[in-house]
Amino acid sequence: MRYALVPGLLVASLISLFLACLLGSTPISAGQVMSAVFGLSDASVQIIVWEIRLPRALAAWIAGAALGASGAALQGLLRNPLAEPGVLGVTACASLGAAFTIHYGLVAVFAFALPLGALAGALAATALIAFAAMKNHSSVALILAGIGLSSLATAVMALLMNLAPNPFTLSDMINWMLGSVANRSLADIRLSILPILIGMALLYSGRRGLSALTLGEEAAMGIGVDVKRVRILIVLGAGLATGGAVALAGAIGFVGIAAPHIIRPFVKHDSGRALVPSAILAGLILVLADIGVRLLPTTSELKLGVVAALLGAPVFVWIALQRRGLHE
Amino acid sequence: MSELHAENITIVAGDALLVNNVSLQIRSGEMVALLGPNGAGKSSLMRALAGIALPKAGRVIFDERDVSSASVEWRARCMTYLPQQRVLAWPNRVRDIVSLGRFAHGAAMGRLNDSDARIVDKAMQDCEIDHLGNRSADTLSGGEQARMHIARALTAQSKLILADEPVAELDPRHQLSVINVLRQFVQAGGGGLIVLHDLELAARYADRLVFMKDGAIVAEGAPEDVLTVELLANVYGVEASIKNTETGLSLTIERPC
Repeated sequence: MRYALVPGLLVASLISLFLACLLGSTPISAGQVMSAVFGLSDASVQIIVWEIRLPRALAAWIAGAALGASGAALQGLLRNPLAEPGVLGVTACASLGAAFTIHYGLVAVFAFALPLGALAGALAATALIAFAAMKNHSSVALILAGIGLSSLATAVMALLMNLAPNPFTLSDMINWMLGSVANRSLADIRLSILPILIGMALLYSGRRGLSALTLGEEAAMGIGVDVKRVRILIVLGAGLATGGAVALAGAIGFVGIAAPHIIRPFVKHDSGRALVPSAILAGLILVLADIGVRLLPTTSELKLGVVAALLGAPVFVWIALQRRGLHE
Repeated sequence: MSELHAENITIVAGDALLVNNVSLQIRSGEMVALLGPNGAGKSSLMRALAGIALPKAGRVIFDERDVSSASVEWRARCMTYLPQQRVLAWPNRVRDIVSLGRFAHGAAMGRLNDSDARIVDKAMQDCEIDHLGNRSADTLSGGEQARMHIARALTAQSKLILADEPVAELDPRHQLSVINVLRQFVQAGGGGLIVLHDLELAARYADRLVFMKDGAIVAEGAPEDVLTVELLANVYGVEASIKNTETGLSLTIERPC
């Protein structure tokens, strides 16, 4: 079980990506997808696979992976099962950055203004929280700072919506916040992949310390964990990865908190070892949810964030109820 | 021969003076019991000795090296600190928690090389928890949890164990078994500083007693020398009678004074 988890999830992810290329309004056979992947099919299939379906599915997987890893790492760092990628305020600030670009019409001027605005918001929030993590020695203070930052960003965003120049701007903002990977191109992925990769590398380098933090911060220091270093690594890593994910796919909730909880029992509740499988599982969940989004015959396309939460929340509640209380 | 020297340690928190100019030495092969009423500054001193908290003044020297400037790993290899608060965040396996003792030696949780695995097995046997290895730590009784953390401390194979109330909430038999494990560690050449509230236990098993009150050390020495009716009245504010019996000192607390 232990050794099959990561390879199993990877294989499932590959299958889901393949399915994402296969399924859709234009029927494409498995053989055509295969030949398109290797650049051997005719131009129209080539375009559908390489410029529409695969980028979209990849974007879903990458955003999911970034959120899953961030959620797992933050839960481990803060020793809190309720922690999610947005707990430090990064998601709210990234959303605010994106809302700014919509509000001031920058999106019409420059195609990548929106993801860049989101990234800028995420980086600013990450810098602030990392600074707080360096100055302060308590995880509770970190959570409170995150909540404060989140509330502030949400308030400013509400202000922007309140002052929206026209209904279209308002609807753009709301739609973006629901989270979606529709019409994402490889160029979109290229824009956010760097912060995501750096962020995930930082998270991965802190994993041994995350495992030890189950003991509590003092006891972890007592066995040789540089808790401050781990805290900064995880805050920076989660900020960059989450920011990249929000820039790519908008504010998608839920997978970042749920995937780590599904994984934990399979890795014997080791927060460090939960990182990689949580990332892959969250990616897989979003790819599958996005296939659902595309196949559902609704009048206007459902948003990925909405479907992910609709499908996942009941499962999550069920899992949460299976969890044994620590002190029963 | 290892030695921990604390020189003129002062610790403040806000306006409160928690530890006031305390100096203390612990040598290897010696078990020292740190005693005193609640709020005397025992835990704060312990944290400063372990290098977890930086004292406002004074320094802690271990093997001629200043603890505050040493790396966290080096400190953890020299001394093991067991804090009072021992609640786990996740329901980890008992053996995984014990194996965390090898952290400063480079081991990751649950992934041990052969020599690390042998050390973990030995410590679990010594603490009589070898049958619990695969249990989830949140299913253990208080006594089993305490022994799990002691096993974790032994696994670190450091030269000094600093344990904050390791036998709190334990029944008499488990108190004795934990103290015996720590005694064996000391007899094998380690040093031990243990916060205790049980005076008889301290008098029987510690080589030296250190009494703190209001952030300062008020008495220090071999149990038979320092443990007096006057001292107990001064430190704890109780009237007590002390009898020398064949098995050690027998102590009865009569009433508050």
